[in-house]
Amino acid sequence: MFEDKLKQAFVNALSIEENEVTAELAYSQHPKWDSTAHMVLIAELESSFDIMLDTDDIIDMSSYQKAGEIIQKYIA
Amino acid sequence: MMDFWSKSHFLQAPKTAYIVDSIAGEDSSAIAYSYQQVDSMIDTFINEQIKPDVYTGKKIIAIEANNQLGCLVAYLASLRLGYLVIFIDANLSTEQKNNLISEYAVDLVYQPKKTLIRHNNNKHGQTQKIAPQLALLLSTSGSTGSPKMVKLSYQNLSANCQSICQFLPIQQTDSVITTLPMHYSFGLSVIHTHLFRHSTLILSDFGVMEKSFWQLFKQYQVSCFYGVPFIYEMLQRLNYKRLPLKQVRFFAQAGGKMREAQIHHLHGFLTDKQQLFIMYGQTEATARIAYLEPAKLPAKAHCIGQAIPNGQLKLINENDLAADTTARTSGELCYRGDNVFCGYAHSSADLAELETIDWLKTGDIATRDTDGDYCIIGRTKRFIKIVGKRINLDEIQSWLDKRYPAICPVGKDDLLILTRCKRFESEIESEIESEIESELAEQLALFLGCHPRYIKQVQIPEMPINTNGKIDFMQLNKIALQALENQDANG
Repeated sequence: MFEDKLKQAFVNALSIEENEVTAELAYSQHPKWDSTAHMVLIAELESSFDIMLDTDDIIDMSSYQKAGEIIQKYIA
Repeated sequence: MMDFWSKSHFLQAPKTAYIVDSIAGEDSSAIAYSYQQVDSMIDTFINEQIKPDVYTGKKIIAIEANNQLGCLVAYLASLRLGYLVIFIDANLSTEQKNNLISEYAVDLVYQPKKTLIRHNNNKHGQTQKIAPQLALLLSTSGSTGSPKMVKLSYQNLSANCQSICQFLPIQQTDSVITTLPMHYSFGLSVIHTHLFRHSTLILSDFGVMEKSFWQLFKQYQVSCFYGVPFIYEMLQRLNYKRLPLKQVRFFAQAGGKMREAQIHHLHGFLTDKQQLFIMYGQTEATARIAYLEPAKLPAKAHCIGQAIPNGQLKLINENDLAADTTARTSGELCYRGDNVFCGYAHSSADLAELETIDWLKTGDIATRDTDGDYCIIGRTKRFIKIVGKRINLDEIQSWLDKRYPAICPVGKDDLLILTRCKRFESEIESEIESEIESELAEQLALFLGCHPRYIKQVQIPEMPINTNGKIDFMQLNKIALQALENQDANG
């Protein structure tokens, strides 16, 4: 459930295919994950998990795996 | 006055000024070089790569731009030799890059971390005629790879740099980090002016959403911050209060109109010692045209202020006559100064001659208040800006016509709306339609190099036509914005 929601947020925000969302997916490694997409991603994550991300966490969210770890912290 | 690219200017820099290459180290760490060290790199590049004593004459060099020292060295070396530089956006496809290189019969191609490629091996003289004063070709069209370029002379570069340094309080002790690409006129003007003042310049491609950016920011105590509205939007989202901005002496914004609420928000966070410069410009004016005196904020957040030092502004009406500005009428904003460009180029055939343009018509409609401050209220030309990049709607129209006819693009900044008349009534057909729609947005976003969220599509009952039988874009824009609002409200 958590994984699906997280994956879907990435698919929507970066406008990529579901199979592209892997643990290795990282900021500025994938051509579509640039600063604009990052802004969209933050908004998408905040609305799907109903949370408000902190400055440091937004900057730290440099990969799909990292995003999972950060979101877990908020919903735990 | 000495030019910012000259050898003597570099040799005169104090030893406490650095040019920092953010990922130069073996572990991709930052390395700081003195101006003198960079000067010898420029010498080496000239002698060992360009070899002007073997290959004589004025050459055209294409530089694939990124914010790394190698790129800056190639650029400054070319300016010292009096060459013509054409910056190429590294994000273009190989096909688009090759197209530009052949359209302009480029002699030399610089790509980061690669050996210089020589196309024309003609050793003596130039292979084509290039005006001696021509320094730089910059694109205005975002990432579409269009060959249309703005021609800038050595005098244009010099004049705009000096004017900017007269109103922005850049000091030798300042430190700046790149936030914009080098091939973009605003980004390039930041580099020019800070080199001119011998301040510390951190070359980086990291964005404000990246940790590495803020590490460099803290390490080098960045004191001057530049951004387009979208960058400030990101800072606002990150929260100004939580960012290490205390040592920043001034913020400057250009690259499109920033929303007033955003200006007020940023202004609210400034301390007594910090200033905010709202600026206005165009690539056709090398970069900068006008700025608003910081003391006039927050009251005049809607204004672009007055012409930069050594420049002049005026308003004209449709008949090209000076508008009567005492009566608060609006007119097209025109600018005059030594930084006004030398015409457009579409291919190498346009490089032999420079056009003399007295008044630059900006395409923006403005008013002037009793203090002499200008305020932009609209546009005569069909273009919008997406994340600071200029997008020509006519160019989109011709792209659409080849693929999806009967769609007309309109919109405002950060919102491109594709309008079409409602054709299908049945549900099955609507489904096919929506599939085409999502594919279209995806493809167009790829072509423009922007995120698909900036592209919306609406269906309208019929196209508004004006008396001469053409599409009435003003009216269509209104209808489209309204239709989009209804669409959002309903679902």
